[in-house]
Amino acid sequence: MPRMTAEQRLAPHVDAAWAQRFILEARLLELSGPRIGDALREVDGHCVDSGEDAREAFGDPAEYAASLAELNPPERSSQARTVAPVGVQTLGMMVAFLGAGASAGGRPAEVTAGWAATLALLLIVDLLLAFAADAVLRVVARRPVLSVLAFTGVVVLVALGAWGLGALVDAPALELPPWPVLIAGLAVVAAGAVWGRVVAQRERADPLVDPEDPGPSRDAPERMLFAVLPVVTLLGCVLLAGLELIL
Amino acid sequence: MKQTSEWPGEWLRGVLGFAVLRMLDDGPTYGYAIAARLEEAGFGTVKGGTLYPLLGRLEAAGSLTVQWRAGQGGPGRKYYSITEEGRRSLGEQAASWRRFAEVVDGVLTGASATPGREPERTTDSAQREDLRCHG
Repeated sequence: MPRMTAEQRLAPHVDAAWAQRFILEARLLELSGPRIGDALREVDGHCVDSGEDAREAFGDPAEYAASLAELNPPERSSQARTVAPVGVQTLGMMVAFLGAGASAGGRPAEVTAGWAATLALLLIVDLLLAFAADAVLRVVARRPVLSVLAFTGVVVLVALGAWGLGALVDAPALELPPWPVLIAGLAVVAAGAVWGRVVAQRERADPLVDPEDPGPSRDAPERMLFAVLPVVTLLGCVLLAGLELIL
Repeated sequence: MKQTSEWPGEWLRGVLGFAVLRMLDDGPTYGYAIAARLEEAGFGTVKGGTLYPLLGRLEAAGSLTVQWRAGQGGPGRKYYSITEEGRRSLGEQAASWRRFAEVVDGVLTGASATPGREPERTTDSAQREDLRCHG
């Protein structure tokens, strides 16, 4: 039997989209897992008893989460918890990109000022994302496909800009053997992804608890965000190697 | 405030807290049953989005305790019970509301304020005026 998501387990009679949005907003407002579980159960029971749907009875899920958050001061501190693993993965991705084309072309991996500038820019983007994490998460939750496309678009634009800059002005500052650079880059991405996964699991150490059955829950994972950068890295490496072989 | 009612939201905001405490004074019950009793009593439909945050505030204030009980053939229900603190608060608020209702009623029926009549002077201001006249 497939594992249920938290909203299927705690609020089976509530519109899944309403419940997901409520969970996201409640998480962003730092409500604890047991408090969110309790609220979802109550919404579910009320909807069954009244015959109303959740939006009709409780209004906008974000506003309802906010009205509960007024009663529950934050129980956990969260600021930029996930930024460090993402930063590590970004560094690894850039190193892997450096090695990928060079490995395919059988030439040394060239560390240039353009590459370093791109890396710095991406790390700054990571930091900005971290400080606007709540707003970014809301957008990602509402428009996941658009968000991934926008993120990929930014990465491609930055890469193209840096490549153009490098082609114009850069003499390599450092030449490195390509395969070790590629392997080191991929290893760093993998390490960052594992770290990100551990952070995400620690987040889930505050699971949504059913007030009627407060045993350990085995909800299906909510998102696989930790896998995004490794996938982008692999695709980028294949693309760069392919371009190197064609051109 | 989310409710469908003939009463203005700001009126209900003021009284819903102790009205809920009064319902619970009859015995523990769950959210939807409270909403149904409020509607029956003439409050109109009080939506879940209004009722449960209010119950949460009353619980945080120590006026209520909660307990989950298994549902009969449906989802479980969170039962609310009034505490001693809740009863004390209900008594105070009910007495205060009755006095306030009398005041409002008095104003509306004209018992304590007649249009065109000057307010009576207080003793203090009358004495000060006397002093000024004779000093």
